[in-house]
Amino acid sequence: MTASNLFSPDDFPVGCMVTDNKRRILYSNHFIEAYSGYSTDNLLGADLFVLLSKASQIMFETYLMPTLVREGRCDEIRLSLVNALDGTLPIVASAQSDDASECILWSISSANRSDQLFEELTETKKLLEQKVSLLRTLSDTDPLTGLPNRAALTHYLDQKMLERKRNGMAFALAFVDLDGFKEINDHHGHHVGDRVLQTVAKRLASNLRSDDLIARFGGDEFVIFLNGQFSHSLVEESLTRLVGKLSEPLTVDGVPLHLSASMGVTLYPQAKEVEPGQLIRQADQAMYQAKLAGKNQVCLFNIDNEASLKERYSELSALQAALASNQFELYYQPKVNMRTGEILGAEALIRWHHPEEGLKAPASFLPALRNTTTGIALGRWVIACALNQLQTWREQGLDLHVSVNIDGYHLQHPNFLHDLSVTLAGFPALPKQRFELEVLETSTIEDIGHVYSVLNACRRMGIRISLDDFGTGYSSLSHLRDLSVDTLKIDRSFVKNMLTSSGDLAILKGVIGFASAFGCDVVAEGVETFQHSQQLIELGCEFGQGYYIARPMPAHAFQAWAAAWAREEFPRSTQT
Amino acid sequence: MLLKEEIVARNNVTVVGSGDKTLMLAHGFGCDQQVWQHLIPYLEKDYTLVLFDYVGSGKSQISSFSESRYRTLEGYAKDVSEICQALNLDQVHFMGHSVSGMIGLLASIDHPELFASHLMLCPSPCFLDAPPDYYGGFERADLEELLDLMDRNYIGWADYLAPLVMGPESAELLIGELADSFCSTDPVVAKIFAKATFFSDYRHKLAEAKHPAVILQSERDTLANPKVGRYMHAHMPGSTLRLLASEGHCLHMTQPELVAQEVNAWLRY
Repeated sequence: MTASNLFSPDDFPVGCMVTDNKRRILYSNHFIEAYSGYSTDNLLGADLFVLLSKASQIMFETYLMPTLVREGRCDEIRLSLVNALDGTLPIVASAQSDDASECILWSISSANRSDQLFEELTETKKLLEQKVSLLRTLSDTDPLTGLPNRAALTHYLDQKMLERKRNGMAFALAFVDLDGFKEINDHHGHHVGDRVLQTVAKRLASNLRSDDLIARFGGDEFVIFLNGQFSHSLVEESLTRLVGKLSEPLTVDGVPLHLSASMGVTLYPQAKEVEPGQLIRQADQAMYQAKLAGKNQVCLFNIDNEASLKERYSELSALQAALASNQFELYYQPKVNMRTGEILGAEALIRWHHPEEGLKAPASFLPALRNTTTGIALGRWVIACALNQLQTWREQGLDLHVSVNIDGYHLQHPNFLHDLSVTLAGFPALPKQRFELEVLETSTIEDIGHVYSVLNACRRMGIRISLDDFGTGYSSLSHLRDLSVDTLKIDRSFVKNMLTSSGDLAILKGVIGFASAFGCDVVAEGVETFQHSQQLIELGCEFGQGYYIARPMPAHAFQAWAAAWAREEFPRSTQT
Repeated sequence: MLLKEEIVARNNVTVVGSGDKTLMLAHGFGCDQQVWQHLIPYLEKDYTLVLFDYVGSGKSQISSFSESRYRTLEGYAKDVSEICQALNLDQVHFMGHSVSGMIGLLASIDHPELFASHLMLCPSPCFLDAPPDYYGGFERADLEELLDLMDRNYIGWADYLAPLVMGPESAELLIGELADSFCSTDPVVAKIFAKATFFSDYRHKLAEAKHPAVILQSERDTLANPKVGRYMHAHMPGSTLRLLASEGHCLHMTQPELVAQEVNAWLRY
């Protein structure tokens, strides 16, 4: 007896079934009977669809049947079996068509296990989705303020600008920088600074529309994306209101703080195609303009500004290159006692040997250096160069004062004093009082208290301080009250007109009086004629500097000039 | 406007047979143009047969798939009229199986100049029941279960999960890389076609029919039962209803000879 006679399909733990080409069930084994709850008698001759859920019937018609016709078989299709009690059971069915009998042979098994696997995979997928979305949130969010971070902003901008190409959307982009935030951090600590940033984030959010985007760009910088078409006046008006909101009084941990913000804004679209990064830079530049214009305000970006900034940038690069390749030189203009002819010293004045344009006076290139690190680098070079010259002259037996002009921005640099003392340490034999800093009275000085303390520290080091162009600034008198200086330099404009203008003469007399009252020397600038010198001497101002005495000259010419000067009787005008 | 070659490649258009009359054969949900292979031998001698795959099915360019276009049948109808325009066809007799009957109707309402008549094989304008006037054969729960079964039958979990991990930007790229094979293997694309097919209701469009149509109705068909055929006939002007002594929804595969007879009868009117 062979094994095939021992076992029938009823013995197998799998459903076996045969259907004809009209879907009628011709055969089903015990497994089907047990699994479906229908007796074999009920199943025979019945429509296969009795056993299939509606959805499974669609699967049959749209997938299983076409596959069977095409390929003769269809493997492992997950269907739902409807049992006699109207419940559904998951099954996996494989079917094979038998061409000779035009029948379909089925094997059917339970899909409980694979369904369990499916559920677990679905659960895993859900968890993974949550994890991924959490990771996305973390990588896109600034943890301190909960606002989108710089990466999220960049992504958002890219998307929006791509969208714009399709449907012509418009927006405004504002760059916000807090005023005086560093001071808050320095004076009250970072925890207060953090609270301030959170407050700013809240104030921005509560004063903007829900479809605007606010991102923390970094530090105390925020970027706002304002949806919609804006005119210049409209965007300026809305943002000025926002600036007002930000500067409302603020208390953190019982500490009342003063806060304000400067904003720059640019509009999109623009006449020329711009990149997202360029747009942010435009808003940033406009913000910088708002800072320069006095902070706590909004400044609109305009293309002309950008052009002038570009020009300034290229000028700056040229100046950096000039500094690196030693194209600057100090000229020296003597200061003398106009009564005795004694040479007191010289003021160092910078010149640029431009490779193409020849010798250039400072008025042509200093403006580009204003408030720049290159300007500070040049200021350092001037100091070092002048000290070096001073030492050379001393070694040659020429005992002079040398003064240099110091820019307000340089003076306020946190490292100024340190740099200066390091430089001075390189000239140990030099008496410090031979060196003089000329501070321009009109230079933009933001923190006057800080400048006073720097200048006083310089004086304590022995360096002389003079106030340049005295009388042209607005706070001359209060300067004199709070700041002890060695010399007042009377501005050339008063000297120039003293012979004809009684007003200028009166001011001149007054300045000379102040100098005497405060116990400082007084030097007149712009002494151009014998008459000027004589009248100044009469008024009590003996020290002078100007074309009448000598023009600025290269260092190597100074000694020859001094010798010639000494040989001549003063005043020379009696001889000319 | 895409070039002819681009459309032909996009929809895997093939033209077989010869004859003055052009018969366009459009597959239904879950299939592609290969479902017509048993019918072609009966028709290719007498007609110019235009076959194609909808974008997202068969050997179409799946990179052309976009959810916004193909989440309604109008998107598929655009495929049809664009193919006709690209091949410079007019007077097209359109044979659509199942959901394609409605897709062809939508195309012919928008571009009546391209079509001559419809042969609707087991069509349905709406698979959902809308009692008491209309019985499409299914309740919403049945169709929800269908989507679930599609999920469970889809084995490419790695492909399914990859876009999730790689981010939404790369999804289109991945769709493009999926293998072209029988009955679109991309579950996202297949489910969008399933939803467009089984959850839509285009009964209101029947009255706008501009061409004669023959409804080939199977006597026993779960997907498009005889009530559906009668409803369509009643609501579609210029329609003829032919109730065929047959079982099932895929007559073109199971009884091609019978279908060919009906085609000949209709086109030689």
